[in-house]
Amino acid sequence: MNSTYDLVVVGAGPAGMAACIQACQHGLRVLLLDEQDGVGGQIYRGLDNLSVTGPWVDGDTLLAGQTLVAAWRDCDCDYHGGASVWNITPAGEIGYTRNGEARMLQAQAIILATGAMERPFPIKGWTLPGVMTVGGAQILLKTEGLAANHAVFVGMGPLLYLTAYQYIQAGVKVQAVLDTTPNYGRQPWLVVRGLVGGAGDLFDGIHMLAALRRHGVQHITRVKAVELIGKDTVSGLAYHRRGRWQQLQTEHVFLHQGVVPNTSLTMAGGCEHTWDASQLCWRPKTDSWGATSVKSIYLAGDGRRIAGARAAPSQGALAALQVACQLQRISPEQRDAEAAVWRKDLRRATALRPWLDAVFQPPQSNRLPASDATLVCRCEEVTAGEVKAALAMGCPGPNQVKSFTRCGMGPCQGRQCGLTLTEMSAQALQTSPDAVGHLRLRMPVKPLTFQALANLTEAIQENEAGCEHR
Amino acid sequence: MNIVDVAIIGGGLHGCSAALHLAQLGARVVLLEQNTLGQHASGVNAGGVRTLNRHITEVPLALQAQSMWHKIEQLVDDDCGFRASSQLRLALDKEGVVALQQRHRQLRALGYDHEQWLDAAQVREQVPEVNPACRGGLMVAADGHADPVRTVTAFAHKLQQLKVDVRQRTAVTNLRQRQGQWQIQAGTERILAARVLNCGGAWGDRIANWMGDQLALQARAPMLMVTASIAHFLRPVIGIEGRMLSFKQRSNGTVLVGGGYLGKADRQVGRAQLNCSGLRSSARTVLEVFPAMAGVNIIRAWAGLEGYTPDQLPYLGRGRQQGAFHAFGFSAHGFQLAPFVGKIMAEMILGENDHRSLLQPFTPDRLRLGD
Ligand SMILES: Cc1cc2nc3c(=O)[nH]c(=O)nc-3n(C[C@H](O)[C@H](O)[C@H](O)COP(=O)(O)OP(=O)(O)OC[C@H]3O[C@@H](n4cnc5c(N)ncnc54)[C@H](O)[C@@H]3O)c2cc1C
Repeated sequence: MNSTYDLVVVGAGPAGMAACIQACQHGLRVLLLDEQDGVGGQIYRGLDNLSVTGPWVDGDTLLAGQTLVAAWRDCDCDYHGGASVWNITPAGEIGYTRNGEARMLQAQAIILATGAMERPFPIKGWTLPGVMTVGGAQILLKTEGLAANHAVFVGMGPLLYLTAYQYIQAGVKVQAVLDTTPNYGRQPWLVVRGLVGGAGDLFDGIHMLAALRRHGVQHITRVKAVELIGKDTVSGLAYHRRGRWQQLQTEHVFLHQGVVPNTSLTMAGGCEHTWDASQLCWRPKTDSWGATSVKSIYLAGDGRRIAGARAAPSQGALAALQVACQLQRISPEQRDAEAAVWRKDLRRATALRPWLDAVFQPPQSNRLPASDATLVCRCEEVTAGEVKAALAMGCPGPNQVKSFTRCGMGPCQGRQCGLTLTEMSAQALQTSPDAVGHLRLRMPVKPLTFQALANLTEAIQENEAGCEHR
Repeated sequence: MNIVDVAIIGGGLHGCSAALHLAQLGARVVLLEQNTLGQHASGVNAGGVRTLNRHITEVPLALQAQSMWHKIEQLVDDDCGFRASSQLRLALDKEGVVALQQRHRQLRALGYDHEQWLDAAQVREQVPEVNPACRGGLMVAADGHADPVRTVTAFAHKLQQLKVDVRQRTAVTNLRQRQGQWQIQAGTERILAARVLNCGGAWGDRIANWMGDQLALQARAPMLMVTASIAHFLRPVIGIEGRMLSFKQRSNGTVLVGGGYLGKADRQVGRAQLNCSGLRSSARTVLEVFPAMAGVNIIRAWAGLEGYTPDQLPYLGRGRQQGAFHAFGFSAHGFQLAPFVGKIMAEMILGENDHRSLLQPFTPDRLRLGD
C-alpha cells in the first residue's frame, strides 16, 4: 500500500483543527477527515458556514471558533468532509466511507480527535419513542432548525442547560428542566464564569438561569429518581423529590448526564484502555503527548479524557508536535520548546477538572438500572434482569455477558450499553471495572455495506485523490 | 497437591467434550484453560455443522459426529441452537460442476451416499435468491449449524453438573513426566496426572513440545463478519466450489459470512488482527453469489485463533511418552467433530477402546518432525 500522508487527523473539532495547524507548520503532509460536512466539531458545528449561525451561539464562542477555523483554513492540509471512519489499525491504516464509497489509506501516524459521546442514561422508559438525548436534540436544532415544543430536559451538566437555553433562544417553548445532580448546590457554573470545561464555558450560569425563569420554564432541582411513562411513545414522566413522586405530562423528553470519551476507534485499533474512576468511564491510556499504547495512534481532545473545548486545541497541538518529532521533522528540543506554551494553556484550561469531575458524577441510581425490566441494550433489547442473570450464572465480564445475552451485539456495537455493562459486571462480581474489562469492539465501527467493502480502494494516489482543499 | 486421572490442557470444545466423556466414564478429570472457555475458536467460530465436502479421511468421524448433533440434547441437556438446515456447496461455473460431480462419484465409490447432487433447477428451488448463473451443487440435508457460544455454555454447564474441576484463567506453563506421573505447572499450582490430553488448539504444538512431541502447527486467524438482522430469505448454509465462502442466515436474521480469509494471528497475546483486503475479497464473493446483499450493512467483523496442521487434518492419538495424548490442529473444521472426537479420545485414554481403524489416519506420528 502506498502512503501519501504523514498524518491523518480524524475529527475536525478544536483538537483536530489545532493538530492540523501545528503539523502543517512543521511541513507534515496532513489529511483531515470528519463525518460532518463542515469543520467545527460538536461545539463549532456550522461555524465554517456563517449563514447558519443563530441566536444560540454567543459572541465569545463565535469568536474563538472563527479564529480557529480561519487559522485552519490558512494551513496546508487536505480535508475530506462527510467521511465516516470505520477502522484504524496499528499499521496506520484508516478505512473510511465517503459518498457511499469505501477507501483505505495508510499514514505514518493517526491523531484521533473524535471527541466525546453522551453517557447512557438507562432509566425506566429511556428507549421509548419521543425520548432522545440532549445531544441529539441540540444537533436537530443546529442543523435542521427543528425543535420540539414543551419538551422536558432531564439530567445534569452544562450541556443540559445550554441546550435548554438554546431552545428558548430559538423561540421554542420548554416545559421544564429537571436536575438530577446529587449535590445540586455545588454546581460550579452557578458561581464561576468562563472557567468551566466542556460546553460550560459558553455561557454564564446566572444569566442563563434568569432566562429560564423569564420564559416560564419550571426548574426542578434535587431530583432523586426519574421514570419515563408511556405505552408506544412517551406521554410523561414521574420524578422523585423530597420523598415523594410527582408527574409531568410531556411528549418529548431530552436526557443527558454528561459525556464520556468516544472509544470506538481506539478500541477497534487495539489501544489499551483504563477505567477512569473520577469520570466513571473508559479512556485510552495515553502519555502527556497523547500517544496511546499503539505506536502510530495518538489522541487529542475529549476522546482522551473529558477536558472540554478550551483544553482541546492545546492537546491537538501537543500531539502534532510529538508526531512531528517522531517523524524527525523537529528535534526533541524544539518540540519541548514549542510545547511549553501549550502545556501552560492546558494546565490553565484543566485546573478545575478534579472539582468538576467530582460535582458532575452522575448518581449510581441513574447509571445502573434500578428495575430489572429496564433495557440495557436497545439494539438487541436485552434487559437489566437478563444481564444480572448472566452474571449470576458465572459470566466473568462484559464480553461473556455479551456472548451469552447478545447485549452489545447490535449495530451500535455496545456504544450505548458498554459502560452500563461494565459497571453492572463490576458491581455483581464485587470487583473493579478494570478487573472485568470492557466490551471488545471490532471494525467496522460504523456500518459498512457489502457493496462499499467489495469496492474498497486502497491508498489514494495523490492526484486522483479528489481531496478538495477548501 | 492435586492428583487426577486425566489432566486436559485447553478449554475449547474439544477439551470440554473429552472432559465430559471422561467424567461420564468415571475418570477424575481436571480441565485447564489459560483464558476463558471457548474464547479463541470454539465459541467464536461460524457454527457450521458440516459433513459436506469434508476431506475423505475425515468423513467417517464427521458422519458419527453428525448423528450426535441430531440428539445433542441427550448429551448436554440443551439443543445448542442446532438446526438441521442442510448445507449446499454450489458450482458457479463449468469447472465447479466437474469438481463437484467428481467428488460425488468418489464418495459413491467408497460407499457413502450422504451427499446429494442437485441440478440448477433444484438449487433454485432450495435457494431462490442465488445468482441465476449457478449450475448445480451438492447438498447434505442432515447438515446444518449450531450456536457456538450456546454450545460451549451447554458443555460447561454439563461439566459443572458432573462436578468436573474446570479451571479458567489457569495457564499451563510446563509439564514433564516423572516415574509414570505427569507433573503439570498450572498457574501457581502443581498438578499430578496419570495421563495428559493436549487440546491446546492454536497452541497445541507448544504443549506437545513440553510433552516431548514435535508436531508442526501454524496458528492462523480466520475472519468472520456479520450483518444487521434482515428478513429471512435463506435456510441452508451455502458454500461455493472454488471460492472461499461460507454463508448462512441465523435464526435471528443476521447473516454470517466466513470462508477462511485470514487475519493476522498473534498467539503471544492471544489476539488476532483483521485484514481489510481479505474482508474485501469475502464481500466480493458474497456479491457474486447473492447480488441482493449489496446494500446490506456489515456491523461487525472478528477473527478467531485456530491451529492448522500441514495436511489440514487434526492430530488425534498417542504421543511418544507414556500417558500422552493429543487432540488438536482441527484446521478450521473442528467444531462439528467435537462431540464425537471427545468421546473416542476418552475411550482411548481410559483403554476402553482404541478405535484403531477410525483414528489410525490421524496419528500424530504421520507428521512427526525429526527427533
Ligand atoms: C473464525 C472461525 C470459524 C470457524 N468455523 C467453523 C465451522 O463453521 N465449523 C467447524 O466445524 N469449525 C469451524 N471452525 C473451527 C473450530 O472453531 C475449531 O476447529 C474448534 O473450535 C477447535 O476446538 P479446540 O477445542 O481444539 O480449540 P480451541 O477452541 O482453540 O481451544 C483451545 C484452548 O486451549 C487453550 N490453551 C492453549 N494453551 C494453553 C495452556 N498452555 N494452558 C491452558 N490453556 C491453553 C486456549 O486458550 C484455548 O481456549 C472455525 C474456526 C474459526 C476461528
